[in-house]
Amino acid sequence: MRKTILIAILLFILASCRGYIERPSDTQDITTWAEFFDLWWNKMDQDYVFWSFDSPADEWDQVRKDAVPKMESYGNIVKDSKNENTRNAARLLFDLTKDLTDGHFQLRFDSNFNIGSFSPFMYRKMREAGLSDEESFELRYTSDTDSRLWNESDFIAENTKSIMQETFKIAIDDERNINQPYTTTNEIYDGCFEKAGYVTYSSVPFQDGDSFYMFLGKSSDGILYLAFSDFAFTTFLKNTHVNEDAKAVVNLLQAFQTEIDAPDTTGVIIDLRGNGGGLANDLQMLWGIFVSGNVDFGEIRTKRSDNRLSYGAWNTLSIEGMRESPYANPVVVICNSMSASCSEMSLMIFKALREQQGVDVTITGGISAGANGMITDNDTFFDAGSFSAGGIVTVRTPFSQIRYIDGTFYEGKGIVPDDVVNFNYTQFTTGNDLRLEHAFECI
Amino acid sequence: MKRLLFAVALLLLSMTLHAGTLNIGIEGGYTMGFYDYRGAVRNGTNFKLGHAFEIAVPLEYRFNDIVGISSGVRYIGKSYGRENILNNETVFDLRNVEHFFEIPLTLRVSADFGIWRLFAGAGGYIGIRFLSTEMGATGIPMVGTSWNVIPYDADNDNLFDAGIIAEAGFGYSFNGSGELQIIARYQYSLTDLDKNYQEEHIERYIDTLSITAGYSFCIGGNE
Repeated sequence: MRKTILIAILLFILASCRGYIERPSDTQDITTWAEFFDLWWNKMDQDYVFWSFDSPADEWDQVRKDAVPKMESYGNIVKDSKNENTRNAARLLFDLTKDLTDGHFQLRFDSNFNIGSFSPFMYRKMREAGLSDEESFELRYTSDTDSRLWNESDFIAENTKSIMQETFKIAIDDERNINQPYTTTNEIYDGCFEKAGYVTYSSVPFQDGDSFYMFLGKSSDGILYLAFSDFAFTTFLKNTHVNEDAKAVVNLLQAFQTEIDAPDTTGVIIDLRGNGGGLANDLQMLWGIFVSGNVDFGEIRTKRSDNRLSYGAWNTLSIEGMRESPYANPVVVICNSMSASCSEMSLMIFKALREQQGVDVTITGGISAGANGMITDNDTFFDAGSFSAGGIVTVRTPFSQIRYIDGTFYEGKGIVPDDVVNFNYTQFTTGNDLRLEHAFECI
Repeated sequence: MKRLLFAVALLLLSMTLHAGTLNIGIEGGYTMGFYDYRGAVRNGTNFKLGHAFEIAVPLEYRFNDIVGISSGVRYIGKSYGRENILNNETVFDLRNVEHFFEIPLTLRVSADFGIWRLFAGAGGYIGIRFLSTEMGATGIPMVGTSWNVIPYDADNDNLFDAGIIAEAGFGYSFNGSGELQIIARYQYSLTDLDKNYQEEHIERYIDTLSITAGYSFCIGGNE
C-alpha cells in the first residue's frame, strides 16, 4: 500500500515538473495599453501562422521586450483617435505589423476609436504607388482617401465595377440592384460582344450587404469573357430559392459553364482584377470544368500546436476534373495587385493546368496581391487565425500557409504574370483597357 | 553515444560469462498514447487517446530467479488524436503518430512459479524520433482525407527522447528453451516534442501504455 502511494506521489511530482503556461484571457478587463499589448502579443504568438517567415528565431520575443516599456508609458486606453497616446500606440502597432509576410493580415480597431485598419498588404501597395511611410500611416490611421497616388493605383481604381463602367460603359446605379440576363447585344465594348449579361448589386442582403458585380460576354469571334468581383457563388446557390438576384447570378454562371464547351468558343478570358477572393468552395465549382482527371495545384499546412514553428503536414490542394480530356481552347487570366486569396489560388490552378495538362494558359496584367492563406472568422476552427483582443482590436489572419505545388511561396510577394502589362490610370478611365486588349490579343 | 553502446555491448558480453541466463526475443503489441499539452487548451479542440504499435527485440539477463535486467531495441509509435467539433459538426479529425527507435533499460524482479512467472520492472529509456506522420480529415476545402509525413523542422523539432518505464508481465516457460511473455508497460516521457526557442513555450509530451506479447529464447547461461 505504501509503495503504491509512493509511486503515485512520484508520478504526481514528475507530472508537476512539466511546465505549464497560462495565457492572458480575452475576457479579462483591459484598461491600459500595457495590458492590451500583453494580450495582443500572446494572441499573435499563438494564432499567427507565418512565423516561419517573420520570426524564425526569437524576433517576436524581442518585439515584446522593446515594445512593453513604450506601451506602459501610454497609460490608460482612451478610445479617441485624437488622443496623443492613442496615436502613439496605434503607430507602434502599425510599425510592428507593416512588414509582416501575411497578405491577408488586417488589424482593425474598435469603431469607437475612429481609426482605420492596418494591413501589411495595403502598406506594400501604398509604398509601390509612391507613398512614403508616414503618408501610408496617415492614410490608414485617418481612413483618408484623399490621395491621388493611391486612388490612381490599380489596387483602388481597377476592379469589376470600374471595368464595367469605364471599359464597357455600363451605367451602374448604387441605389439599386440590376440584373441583365445573358442575351444578344451589340451595345457593349463598341459592339465587341455579340452576347452579354451582367449583374450590378450594390447590396446583397444575404452577403452582409456587400456589393457584387459580374459580367459575362462573348465576342463575335467566339472569345468568352468572365469577370466577377468576389468568389461568392456558393452563397448565391444557397439562396436561389428565395432571392431573384441570386438566381440571376446562378443563371449567368450556368451560361458561362455552357459556353466554355460551345462549338463556336475559341478561347476564354477570366478577369480577376480587383477580386479579393471569397469562398474556397467556389474554386472547385468554377474551375473543375477546365480540368480532366485531377490537378494538384498547391499545398496547405496548419499549426499542430501553439508553439510558433510547430506546423503540421503539407496537404495537397486538388481540383477534381469534370472533363475527359484536357481543355483545348486557350485561356487567359487577367490579374492585378488586388487579385488575392481565391483569385491567387485560381492563378495557381491555371498555372498547374498548363504545366500538368498542357492547357494553353496565359496569365497577364499586374503582379497579384501575395495573400494566399485560407481564412476563417476566428481561431476556434483550426486553432489559429483571426482573433480579437480585449475589445480593442480584431485581427484578420489566415489559419494556414499555402504554397504552389512546386514548393514556391507567393505569400507577401504575389504571382508575376507571364505577360506584365502596366496599369495606366488615364488610359483606363478613358475607356482604353490595355490589359483587356492584350488579353484578347493573346487568344 | 559510442561509449554508451560500447558499455552496453561489454555488459552483454560479460553476461554470457556470468552464471545467469541471457534471453533474446521478439515482441510486439498495441500502444496507447496519452498526449500531455501544457498550454491554453482551445475551445472546440479535443485531444484523444492515440493508437499505434510497437515491435522490439528484447534482451533479458536474469542474474538469478528473482533479479534481472532487460534491454533491447524497440520501434514504438506514439500517437494522439485531435479533433475539433463545433455546433455538432466535425471540423477536423486528425491522428498524429511520432515514430521512435528506443533503447530501454529496466531492472526486473520476478516471482517464479515453476513453468510460469510474474515479473515487474522499472527503469528508463532513451531514443530518437525518426518520423512524424499525420492522417485523417483536415476539414479544409479541396483537401481529401490523407496520410502525410510532417517534414522535419530543425528549428522546432526535438528528436531526442527519454523517459522512465514501469512494466509488469507474465511469462510461460517452454522446457527452459524459451518463454512466452505478455507485458504491460507504461512509459512516461521526460522530453518535450518541441525545442524551447520562445519565451511562451508550450511543452508537449506523449506518454504510452503498451500491451505486448512476445517470445524470448534462452541463448546463454545456466538454468
